[in-house]
Amino acid sequence: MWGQHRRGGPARGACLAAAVAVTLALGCSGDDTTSDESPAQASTLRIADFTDVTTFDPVLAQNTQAAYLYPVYDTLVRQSTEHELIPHLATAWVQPDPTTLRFTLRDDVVFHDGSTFDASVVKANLERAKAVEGNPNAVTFAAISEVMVLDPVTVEVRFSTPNPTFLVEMSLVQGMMVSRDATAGKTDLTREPHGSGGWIWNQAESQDGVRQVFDRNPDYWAPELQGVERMEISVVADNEARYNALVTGQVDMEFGATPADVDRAADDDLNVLTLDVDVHFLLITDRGGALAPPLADPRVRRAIGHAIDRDAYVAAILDGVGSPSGGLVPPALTEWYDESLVEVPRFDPDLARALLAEAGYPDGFELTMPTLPLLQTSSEAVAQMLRDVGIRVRLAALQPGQLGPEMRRGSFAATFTEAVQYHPNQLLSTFLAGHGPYNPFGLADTRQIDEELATAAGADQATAKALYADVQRQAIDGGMMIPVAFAPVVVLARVPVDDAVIPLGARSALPYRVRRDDR
Amino acid sequence: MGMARLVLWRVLAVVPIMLVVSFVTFVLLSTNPVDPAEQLLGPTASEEQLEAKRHELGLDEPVLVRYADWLGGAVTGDLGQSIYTTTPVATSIGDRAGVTLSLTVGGLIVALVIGFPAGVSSAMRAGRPADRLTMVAATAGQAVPAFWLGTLLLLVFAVRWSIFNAVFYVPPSDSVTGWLKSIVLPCIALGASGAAWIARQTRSELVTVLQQDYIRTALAKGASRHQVLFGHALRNAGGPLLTVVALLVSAVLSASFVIEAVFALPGLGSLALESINRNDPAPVLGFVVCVVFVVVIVNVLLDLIQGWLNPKVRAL
Repeated sequence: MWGQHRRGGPARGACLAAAVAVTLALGCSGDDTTSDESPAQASTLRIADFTDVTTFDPVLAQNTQAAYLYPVYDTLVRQSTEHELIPHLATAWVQPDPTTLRFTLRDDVVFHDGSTFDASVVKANLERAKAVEGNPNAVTFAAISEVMVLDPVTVEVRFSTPNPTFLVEMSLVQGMMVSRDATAGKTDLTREPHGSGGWIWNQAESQDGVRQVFDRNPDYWAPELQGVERMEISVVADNEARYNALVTGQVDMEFGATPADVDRAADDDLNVLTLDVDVHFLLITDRGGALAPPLADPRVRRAIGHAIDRDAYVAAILDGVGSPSGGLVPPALTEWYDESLVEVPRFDPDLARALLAEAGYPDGFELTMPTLPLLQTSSEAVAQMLRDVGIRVRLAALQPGQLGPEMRRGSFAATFTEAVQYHPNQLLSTFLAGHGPYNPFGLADTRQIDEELATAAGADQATAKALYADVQRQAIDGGMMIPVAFAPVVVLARVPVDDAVIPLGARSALPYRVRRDDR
Repeated sequence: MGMARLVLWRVLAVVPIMLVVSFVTFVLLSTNPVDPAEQLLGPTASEEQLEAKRHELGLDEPVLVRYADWLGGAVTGDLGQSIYTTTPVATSIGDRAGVTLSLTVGGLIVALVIGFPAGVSSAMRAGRPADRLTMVAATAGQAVPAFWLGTLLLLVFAVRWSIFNAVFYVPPSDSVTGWLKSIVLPCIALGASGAAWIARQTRSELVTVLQQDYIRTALAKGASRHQVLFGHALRNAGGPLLTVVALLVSAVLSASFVIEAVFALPGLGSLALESINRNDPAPVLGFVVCVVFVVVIVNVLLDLIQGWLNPKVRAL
């Protein structure tokens, strides 16, 4: 079955009795780390995250940092364990027409600074998000034309064009509400959060780049969501160190685990939560052949699609965790996933070679693609598959942070990359739309795609799904975007994850309802 | 040259070294192809917004002007600030220095406590099986990378036996036991190679000294082996050993940046790595300047101690 996957394992063994003298001196914590903990410690959820938080301002934060923001901020809506959008700060919402969303809000929410939440705060937040420069999620707010306060608990958001991703984005950092004073610029949100969330930031015990501490908000409007008294989120950049922290019981949860960790986690009696939303794909932007003339021929681009052995990629690069992709929308997006795309395009190296020969490149050609340290192994695998059919790929190593700008500048004809997806419009519009940032060569071959994406944005779900499927077919058949695999976002835990949720669009789990048990 | 003049010359020599290091690092960082303005404003920023942000960050100024600005602040202790978190670099370095100091000092202590007695013992038994065994162990110790040994120790003593912490640093002010549990394994990993190095050097120096005529004379006059060792041999072997220890400071310090990653310790190395990955130039520059400053100061102190111990060195 698709969607979020949960796994558990057998009971753990006991601490070995060796090295008694040192153990006596330092105290053996053993495998059961809760045995000598105070009640306060037992209700502390300790998390190791793969990244640091550079800002507590939701308008400047990225969803990769969401783990640090969810405890202190409430979002307008929330994702359920099945990834349905459910009420949070907004108790209900209606869409009277494709360019209007009307939210009914809670009237009992108080921010940590004592101010109250109402429709005017939502208006101030959305207007600020649209105005603040440097918002990495500016596209979420770009189409907002007006935010109207109808009464203290009703706010209406109007868009210049339909914005199909807005609702789900209101469950991510884009939908986090800061207090009235903060929206007025009276506080420095970068270093000090001002939210209404279930936990209050403990400034005294937090240290930049090391650990952020949050204490339970005693006046929270939804106490049933608060599973623990305290949360400590530590930065552990190294994958192996994060796993060791979890195995030894120094943390209860790990964000940013790799697919390779899933199998050994079962052996170590850890709970596993996965969500296949990370789309690995090849983007061919130089379809006019400005940098790589062979790519102007659609047969060459189709040949690339047939050269990718997706099963081998999943087995070797994703350790068998994840799935080979045909389409570009992952199965985790159950509403939008289209099984008819699973077989598109099939791995057929002979066909790839034949297509290259037919296009006039029987000996292949040379192609330079960028790569990052994080993508090095997967890029090498894809490059080798292309080499096998004669396309001699040279990988140009870039620094972190350099890939997006270089792609947008048109420095490369084709790029292998990955993106976490939460709505088909998000990935397809970003990477395919003619007016989007990833059409650096100003190509006009996406006219039909642009029209269909625009229609889908304002259409009902069934129509939109059919249109998105058609856009994917065009992108794949035309060799614009070549899907490779759906990789999982992986969360490992010593605590139960039955109620835990990895929201679509994030790389961490929500803090709600996660409890410590006495293992 | 008098001792006062030696001190003056050595201290003054620090200034041009720091200027060259900071300037070269500054220039290298300014050639980074990643545009901080684009990083901050994201893909939707217009060219006008990017220009405005570059101006705000001072990136549109010539490199020399920006370096002069930075240098003006650095001499007053202001090493700039992170462009992402706006945290002053001096604060970040101060927050992390305790971890790196614990690791470096701990690693040196491990190296000295193990290496020095092993070297002395080996020299006193030169040519015997115990000596050969010690030297084989020293060779192996020098060959083992600190990060590998650290990983091995971690898997055995933290993951398997849960005696020490696998990750995280506990300040001694919070818990001395916790502090020990967090730094013992990293310090052993850091100090093992140094111990091997010191053992070899100590043995080598002592064996040479113990063959000198004045040692034979001392023994002939009835001095005990203990008196000869501590009263004559070690004193004369001390100079070269001091050089080894000073070099070891640099080696342990740089190895600690790798060990920090293995044990998830928030020291200066992790600060530098985070800043490099984030393309945040000010903390990287601050890190380089501080580390080089420490290494240079250690070497200056070594020169001064050598000069104090041996007046002939002062003339060099």
